[in-house]
Amino acid sequence: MDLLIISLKVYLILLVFIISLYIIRHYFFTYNRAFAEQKVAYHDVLDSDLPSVSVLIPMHNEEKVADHILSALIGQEYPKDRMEIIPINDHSTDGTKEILDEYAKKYSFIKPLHRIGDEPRGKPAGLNDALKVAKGEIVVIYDADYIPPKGQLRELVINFIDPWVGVTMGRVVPINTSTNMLTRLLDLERAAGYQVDQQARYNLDLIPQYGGTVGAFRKDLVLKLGGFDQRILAEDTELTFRLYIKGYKVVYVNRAECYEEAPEDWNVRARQIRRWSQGHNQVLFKYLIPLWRFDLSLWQKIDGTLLLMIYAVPFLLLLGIADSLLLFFLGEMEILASFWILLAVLAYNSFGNFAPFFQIGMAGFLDGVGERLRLLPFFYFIFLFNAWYTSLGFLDAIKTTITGKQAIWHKTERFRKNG
Amino acid sequence: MGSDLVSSKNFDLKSVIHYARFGRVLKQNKRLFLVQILLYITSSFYFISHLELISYYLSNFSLHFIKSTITKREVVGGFSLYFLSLPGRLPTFTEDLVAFLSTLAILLINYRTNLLPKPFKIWVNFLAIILMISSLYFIFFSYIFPYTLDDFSLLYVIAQVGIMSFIPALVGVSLALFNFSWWVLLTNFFIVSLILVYSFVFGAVRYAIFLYTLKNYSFLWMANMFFNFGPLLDMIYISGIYAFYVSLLSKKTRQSIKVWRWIY
Repeated sequence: MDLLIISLKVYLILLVFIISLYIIRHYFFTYNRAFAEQKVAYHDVLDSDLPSVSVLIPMHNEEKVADHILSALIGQEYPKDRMEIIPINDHSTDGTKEILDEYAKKYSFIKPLHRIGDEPRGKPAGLNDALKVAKGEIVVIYDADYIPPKGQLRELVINFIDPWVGVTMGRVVPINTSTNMLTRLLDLERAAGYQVDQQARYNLDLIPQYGGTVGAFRKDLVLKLGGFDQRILAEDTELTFRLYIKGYKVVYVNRAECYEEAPEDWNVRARQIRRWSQGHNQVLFKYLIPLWRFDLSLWQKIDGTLLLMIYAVPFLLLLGIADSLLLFFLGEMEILASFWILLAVLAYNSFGNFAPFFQIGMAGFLDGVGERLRLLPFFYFIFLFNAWYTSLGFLDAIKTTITGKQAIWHKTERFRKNG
Repeated sequence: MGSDLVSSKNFDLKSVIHYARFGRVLKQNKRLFLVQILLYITSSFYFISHLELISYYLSNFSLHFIKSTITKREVVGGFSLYFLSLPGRLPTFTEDLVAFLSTLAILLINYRTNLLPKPFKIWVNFLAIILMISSLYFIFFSYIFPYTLDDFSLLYVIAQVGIMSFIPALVGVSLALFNFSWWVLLTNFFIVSLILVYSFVFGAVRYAIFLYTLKNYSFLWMANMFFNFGPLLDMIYISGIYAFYVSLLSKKTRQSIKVWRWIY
């Protein structure tokens, strides 16, 4: 019994230590984004000799949004003779195919790729197929619900003038923020994740993350590395680490804002966060140890480890709650126990994008969101919601890693009603 | 169909961005930043060194709300702390059974229906599961339940004075990032003080409610008080007051050239 109690206490101490590391990390990021010199991308470079670009848009039953993203891309201020748009119709059963074919008839640079029959479904598989037919030197990926502003392609692509840039990543901003409480909270979450987290990691030469959409990469490089890993749901995070290990950089372009449709329904959000967690944890299992063997700076290794673990910590936290409950009934809740719970709660009370409340506060301040910031206390209710679905995703990742089974891709439902 | 579909009107894009969101940082007054960090960390240590006094006021404040109570003092981890002492009671078998069946019903209803939005459903489930574990524990092991009401009372005081000691460091250090004038330093200080006062009153009222409940409605509710309505609940008002203040600050300074610095 004594050994059990000691183990439970040691676990709790370790958990608090890990969470404290995250608090320090996020405070440092917040401070850096608020005051430090901000690293900008290469947008000051003026070059008329722009590279050829292939824009890939994975689509599965996207009739509600297909028209919008294609229209936005047609309106891009990028030489049309140097761009092609490849919407990847991935086994759609609605009217997506007809919409794409109609666009293809009208615009020669729109070249739909229809994936039907027995071909494996899912974003990584679709992207791999599209990479085989893409002609551009640079590949830009957008999810189907995104609406890129007119100048965005150039903002993302110009960075590749530096040969060590492997990937560029833009900022994601919800377009349907005012729809309901969930979308408002997700807007705050995104702000903390991009405005503060991504920018600070870029400033500090750590590991800004390629998010799989609103991002661009060198086609040859990714093909040389074997394309996207189809077994992993977070193909974006996986690519980030693969490129860093090979010595390439991710450039984060904070001003390249792209508008997305945030989930408007809690069930949809639950499935989305579970899928993200599964994919991210698959990457954790694949890279946690190799990360420390490669030629990265110590800070990159530390930050990379914390980044990899970010979707595993909620599971550890739930175990911590169970651990505390056990200690409670064993009569072992002494003075420090209260502080341990307190610390755990402090780190994760604002669970949006795993950012503490001061990071969300600063992101909102920088964005000038005003009254919406007052929703911050509502993250209390999301705390358990996120912890639960992220933990389920963690368990899914363990299952797929052990069994070697192909992870199933669940598409995020769209809500757009009008154009 | 066509590019005219995509316009700021159609998609509620921001028609005005007062300053480019990517192109600015806050002007920093390092002296004011350090003064605040020092002030709030010192305040936390000050509170830690005066835990006895805080616990004394906390207990006496709660004493107004709950009768038939006496104040006791005990030394814990080198700190002398006051707390309220009163007798409590174990739940009866009937109470345990009712609690178990009720929580089972709640879990089943939540599983079968969508009456509540998902985050609230999970929160309610969490409450129910802890209550269910408590009821099962008391059905089978009530004879070895390790706490008296005095133990819980002392544990609560420890947690509450811990939170209060931690508030200056946590909120103050977070607000220290806003340091563009002496005026802001003063308002930051006011907000930290406000949260402390709120915490004291909230903590004392909650203390009285907890003790009253445990005394009259048994120890069945003790675990939930600790895990759901304890330190977790404090984060609501801490982040709420913080957010309200920062939103006001944001509105006031959105276009002020004294606050922002261009990055290029």
